[in-house]
Amino acid sequence: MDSIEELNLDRLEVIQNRLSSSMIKIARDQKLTASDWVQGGWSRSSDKVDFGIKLQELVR
Amino acid sequence: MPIWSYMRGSKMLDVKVGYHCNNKCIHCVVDPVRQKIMDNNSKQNLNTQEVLDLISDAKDNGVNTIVLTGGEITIRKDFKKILTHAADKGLKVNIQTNGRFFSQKQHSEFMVDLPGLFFIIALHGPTAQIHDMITQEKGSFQETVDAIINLREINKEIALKIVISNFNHNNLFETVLFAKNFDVNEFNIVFPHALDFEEKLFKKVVPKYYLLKDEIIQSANFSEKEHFPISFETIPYCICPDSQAFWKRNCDLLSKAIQNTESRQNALELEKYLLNWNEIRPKMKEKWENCIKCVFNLLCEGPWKEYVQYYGHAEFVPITEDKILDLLEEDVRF
Repeated sequence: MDSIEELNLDRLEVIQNRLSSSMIKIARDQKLTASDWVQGGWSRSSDKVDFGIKLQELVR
Repeated sequence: MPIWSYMRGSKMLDVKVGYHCNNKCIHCVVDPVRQKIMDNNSKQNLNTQEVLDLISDAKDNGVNTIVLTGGEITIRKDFKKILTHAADKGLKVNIQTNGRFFSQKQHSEFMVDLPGLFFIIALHGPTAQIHDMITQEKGSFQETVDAIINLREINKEIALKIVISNFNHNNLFETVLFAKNFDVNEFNIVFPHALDFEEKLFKKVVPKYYLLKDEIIQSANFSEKEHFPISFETIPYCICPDSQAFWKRNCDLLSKAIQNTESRQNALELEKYLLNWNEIRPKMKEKWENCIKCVFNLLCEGPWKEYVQYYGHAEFVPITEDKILDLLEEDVRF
């Protein structure tokens, strides 16, 4: 794997953006709406998520 | 405003009603939190009126879907009252549950004509041996299975959810096949978020990602072939660097696909204790220098921070351009 300095960052940026657009279109076409409900669930059940002060720190 | 609630998306509100549960899942992070709350003599559960007020307030502020979660909401004596209240308000209601309550048919009869209900039921393995070992409740597997059958009999929509652990990671695909028998709507495979676990417990419960590869690919291919919706939560794309079927079902992608289609503005976002899970979640995950080199960098949130803390990031290798050429338009293929 190339070091960051050796990468063509402009090219990489184009590829990452194009791939993202392409994948998002595929996801929408699939009509898989799972992340409406799946992201989190029990995994969010921590005081770091549930209580105000720490939450504010997280989003700062 | 009760503190055990927060916003997930622009029109969806999570309502965490408290911490009591009748399972003791080995991967669960609720129990340590509940213990802390008990140690501080803080309140473990919202009372009935607080939950009802929260639901009414949500409706008044433009929320159209609430997620009832806990703990286990169905063990509350006021469960029927809460659910009926939400449905009467015209809200869609997602119920996160282990389902055991519904193993008795009479417990689901009141819901026959309630519209807009969606059940997210935890099924942690394809057998009683595995599921009950994880829930640490003998008989819980059979009750959950009976519940799934009962709820399907009254045409309720169901997503099944398996939390991966060292006790079931070799049985993910077997569980997918098992789930398919029940004609459920979706299946979700979730990597555990072992927040606040001590290192010893973390390593006992949480598998390394590379161990999951074959099971994930099998499940993703099955989803594609059988048109059975499966999604994968917090599993970076590079774990299966050759599987488009997996990439297309990655929750990081699905979240972004949804985010871009909906307005995020909502009056409730101004509330002090309500925060958007879509914004918080990435801050609880880890990315590093190598991720910049990956073609999925913009779509990937990375693993949970705790994973990298205990297992490092050597197994995450950037996916290179040659792997995704057929997903790009011709003008950038040079």
